[in-house]
Amino acid sequence: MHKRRIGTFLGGFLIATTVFALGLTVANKYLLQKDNQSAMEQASVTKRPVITVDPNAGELITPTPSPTDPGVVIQGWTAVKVPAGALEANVSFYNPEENAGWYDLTFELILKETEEVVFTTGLIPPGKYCNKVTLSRSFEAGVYEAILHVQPYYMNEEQSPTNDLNMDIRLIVE
Amino acid sequence: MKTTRKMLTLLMLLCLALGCVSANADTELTATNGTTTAESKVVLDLGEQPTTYTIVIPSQINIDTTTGKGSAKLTLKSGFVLTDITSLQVKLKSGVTNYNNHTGSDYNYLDLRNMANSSTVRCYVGHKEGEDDCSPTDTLISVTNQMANDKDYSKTLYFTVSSLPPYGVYTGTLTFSVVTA
Repeated sequence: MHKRRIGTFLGGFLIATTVFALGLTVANKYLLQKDNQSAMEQASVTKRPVITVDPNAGELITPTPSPTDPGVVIQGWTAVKVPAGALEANVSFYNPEENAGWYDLTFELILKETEEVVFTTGLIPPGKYCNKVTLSRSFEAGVYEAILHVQPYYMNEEQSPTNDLNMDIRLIVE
Repeated sequence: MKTTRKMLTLLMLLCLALGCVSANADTELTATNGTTTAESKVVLDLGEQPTTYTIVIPSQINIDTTTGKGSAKLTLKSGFVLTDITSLQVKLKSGVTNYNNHTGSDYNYLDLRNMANSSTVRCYVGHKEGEDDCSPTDTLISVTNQMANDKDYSKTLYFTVSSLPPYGVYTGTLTFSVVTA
């Protein structure tokens, strides 16, 4: 009878131990799963790509303003002499040095009375002279009232014309 | 004695010839018995000093895109010399391309053109900011040969675009003229 009791007790103890062990295993598994989950969450936070400071970040640098157009410097003349009966004439129309890097000039002589173009030069760079012109025709000796049209052009690819100047001039043929 | 006369005559002829060759040479010959001296005053005439002057014109008209206003300065530089003329005036050339003088409505403008689409904006020209009172016949700078030439003479023109377009590049040119008398 006593042995039977002991057997029952041992059986109950074994069952209880097994149930307890099973419970521990389930609880452990649950806790482990939870830990993994939080570890994964934490890992997902720490694995976010790191954004570094742009090497070009810094204080505001104001861009250098492009240079302002200087005015066009134009030398004035009141007379130009050409030989009578000739088709070429020596002249000395000058593009001042001050226009360097900015403006080329062209010169055109137009008779006031008839608006006839007597000559037109090509581009004269700054610091250079136009030393000779070819006349549209020969002229008899005399003094002719004329206009010298000075047209500046920007020294860039577009060669766009700027404001221009007409000056009174006398064409002296002698 | 005869020899001396001959020498003097030859010398005089020589001096006369030299006097003729060198332009405007005044020759004074003094001869005394036994000695001969000659004085020659040479006048070098280079002619009249030519008229010289230098003008600085604005290359373009810059309009502030916010206010629609701008200005441009033109200058007659110091050191001008007027010899064969008595006066020199700088004006806006009348009849210049894109420049109109509405004498009836008493305002002046030039049309700035957009090269991309040919549209225009009207730009008024004035002697003062915000005005449109500058006429092509107005004298902007005036000097005479009696005036001091040790300083620059300048004039500022004012431009106003009353209705600014939303975007685009508009350009136009002015022609200035130098009128002499």
